[in-house]
Amino acid sequence: MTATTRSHILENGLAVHLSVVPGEPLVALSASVGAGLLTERGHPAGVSHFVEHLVFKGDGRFTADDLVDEISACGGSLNAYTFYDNTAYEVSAPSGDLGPPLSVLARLLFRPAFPAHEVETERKVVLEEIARGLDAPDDLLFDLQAARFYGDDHPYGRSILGTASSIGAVTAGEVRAYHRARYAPGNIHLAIAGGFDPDEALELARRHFGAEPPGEVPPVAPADLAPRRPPGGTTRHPYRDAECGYGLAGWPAPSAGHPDAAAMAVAAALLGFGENSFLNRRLSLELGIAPSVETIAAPRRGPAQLQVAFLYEPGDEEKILAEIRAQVERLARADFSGEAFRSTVTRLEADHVFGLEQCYVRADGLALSATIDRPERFLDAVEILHGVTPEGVARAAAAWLSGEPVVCLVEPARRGGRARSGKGRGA
Amino acid sequence: MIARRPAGIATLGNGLRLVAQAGVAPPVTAVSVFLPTGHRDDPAGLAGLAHFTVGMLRRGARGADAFELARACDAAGVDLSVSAAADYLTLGMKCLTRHRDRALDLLVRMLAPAFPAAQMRAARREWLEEIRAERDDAASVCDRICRAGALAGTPYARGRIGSAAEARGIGRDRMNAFWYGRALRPAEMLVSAAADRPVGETLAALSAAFAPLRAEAVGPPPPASAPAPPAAAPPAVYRAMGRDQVVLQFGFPAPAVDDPDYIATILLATLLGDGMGFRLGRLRESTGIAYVLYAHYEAFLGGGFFKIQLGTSPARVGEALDRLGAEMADLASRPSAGREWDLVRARTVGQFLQSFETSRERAHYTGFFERFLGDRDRFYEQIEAVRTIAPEAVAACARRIFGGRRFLALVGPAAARRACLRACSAREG
Repeated sequence: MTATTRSHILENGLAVHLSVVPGEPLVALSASVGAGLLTERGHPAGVSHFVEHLVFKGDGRFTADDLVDEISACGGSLNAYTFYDNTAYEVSAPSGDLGPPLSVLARLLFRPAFPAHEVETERKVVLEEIARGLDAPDDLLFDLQAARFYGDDHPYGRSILGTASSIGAVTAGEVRAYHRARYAPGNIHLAIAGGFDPDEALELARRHFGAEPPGEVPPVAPADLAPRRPPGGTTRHPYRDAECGYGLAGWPAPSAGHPDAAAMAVAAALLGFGENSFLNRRLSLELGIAPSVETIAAPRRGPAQLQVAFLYEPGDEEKILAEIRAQVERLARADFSGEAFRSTVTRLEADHVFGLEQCYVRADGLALSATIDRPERFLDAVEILHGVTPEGVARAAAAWLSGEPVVCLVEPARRGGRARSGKGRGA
Repeated sequence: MIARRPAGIATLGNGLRLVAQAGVAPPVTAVSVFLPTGHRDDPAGLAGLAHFTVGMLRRGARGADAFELARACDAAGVDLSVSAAADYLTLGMKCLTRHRDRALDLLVRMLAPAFPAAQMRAARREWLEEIRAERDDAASVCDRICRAGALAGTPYARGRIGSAAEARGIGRDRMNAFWYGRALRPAEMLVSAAADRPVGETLAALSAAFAPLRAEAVGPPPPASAPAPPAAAPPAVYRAMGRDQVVLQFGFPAPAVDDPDYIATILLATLLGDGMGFRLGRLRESTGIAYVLYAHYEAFLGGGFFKIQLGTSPARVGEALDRLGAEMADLASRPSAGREWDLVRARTVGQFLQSFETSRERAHYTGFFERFLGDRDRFYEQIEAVRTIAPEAVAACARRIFGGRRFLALVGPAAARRACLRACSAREG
């Protein structure tokens, strides 16, 4: 089964990407809006995510229930998420008439009225979501580390959810202003993947999205796209009655469109993806001191991080961090075998192909790639991967990973100590 | 009508059964090996034995140490998965089909774990950390308390892992006896595969790989623990935890996977809802009472568990209990009707199709249905059952579940203790 993909730009600037998988009984749609943490400069913290919740509230002629019902009637499900650079609205359903899902997505994106009483009700939901995040030390860790890595002067230093004070104070007017600024057709990529007729899908996309006026989208400040190289160091954050320690170390990494991006993805995988990765071998198989070590290299439009998250038994953290630093240094020295390099490329290729089994992953991957870089980043992922060389990995690692990481440790409060730095969302 | 994917079955000389399914898919092969014991059979005082034992499959086999296995795994681009369900263990893998035979060889080698001493020491530290991490998660703590209360007296009352003391008591001899005495019995096992290749080709590859597999004569396996007798448990328990929200969970015994009410219970869970839409989603939209608010049904071979979980501020616990109680009463007293009923059935069919989307899911469900229900096509029959069930059957199922034994667990800040105890007459625990 081979997918064929084609892209179109509607007259108002909205991009449509169609990835047809013949015989596939499911279809997924993803509308990715260039509205996320990166675009919140000058707006209340957490407003992208709050808008994501509020667009489901309708315009008075339709309600959240109406939208969900229309999707349920197709046997589908409707979801949304907010991330660093985008907000995505997604439908997964059995193959069939694409009219209802496209109609629902268009109304979600372009017709919300943000009625005052709904803003107040949803504010309570989001405040509960924030409280839940603060109640989870492993979630809190990511916000604390981002605040340290990016600082107060970069939007990536914020929590995606915002804070209780920012969400408690945001007004319906601010929500509308942000929506107006970001939800313009030229700032949206719509991807459809699975079993469907592409000509019919394009016609339906034109019908439901094409009449929207183009709008103007303010550019992201160049300074917010420039690489960040913060000074390294470790901060500790005592957390209530936690029993485990939760650690997160981050190094600067290239943005999605940077020439080093593919080599750094392979470097990250050599470090922490797979059974034979440096960290799994050393920390789990040899030492048994970190049951859960995860390497995270989420692509971003702006300055990215290569992160290593780990659980630890208090007292082990310095040893674990020393091991992580030592394994990172191996990358820059090209201290890995040809076999390890080839296995890592194989593993990454397989992982990409595994994702293609799911229409949702195809649609989301395509729309997200187009939003933060270009669709080929997803479509040609295997070719791009096979273009990486061991020398390229070492060169990229030396360029990006040579400094000290920014480390945050959230640990049992009974060990004592106060956070030496970090932002206001301490536990 | 859903197009059925071609499937075939074979039995090897060692008694091992094989199932293979073909499909239109990317060039991927997924395999699940089902072994005939699960964490419900953990001996008394050794909760976690099944879970930790399958974790050791990655840590060295006879003739291949942990590092060799890791190298072989990545060289073939294999995505491994090991799991201890309540009723069975699985060892699974997914790979690009061009690496299939190497991946199958790896899987067969992993079925003969050596439990080397150094790896046991390394793994034990990780088990303890896993136990601590679970105790840091309020939702997991609440679920564990609720499950133990609602399913008391059944083998499903315990979770996959137990206490740190139990983990410390699990040694090499126990694992050897458990694995070779109880789990590795080819005549009671089944291997299921889903691939982009013809059924015959996949079956031939499985046959070649698994034919040498043999049961071993070892000492008697550790006796499974008898379920604790149903205690005169209180209907509710409150536990203090240093968090801001209160997590509350209702738990109920529910139908087993082959119970006539199985499909009705799935529809009941959808009707209550997980995410947007339906009853709990609408409650969230209209009141803002919670961010996390969902119903979930888990079916075992010998029973089931139905739960409703919600996280809210301490001030709204009483309101949350009232509203959930009202929803349950309504579902039990009044069959769903009209558009809601049409929507819940359509959504459930869509969920079934999505749950069968990847080769890993198809290998797993086809294998499970064949091994435990003797019907590899049960998936398609279930979809038809969803389409034809009457709403009265779901209301009757709601009465059966919500009208029977129930248990409420609350986990929240010490400051909310009084409010929680007052709201539900809970006992502290």
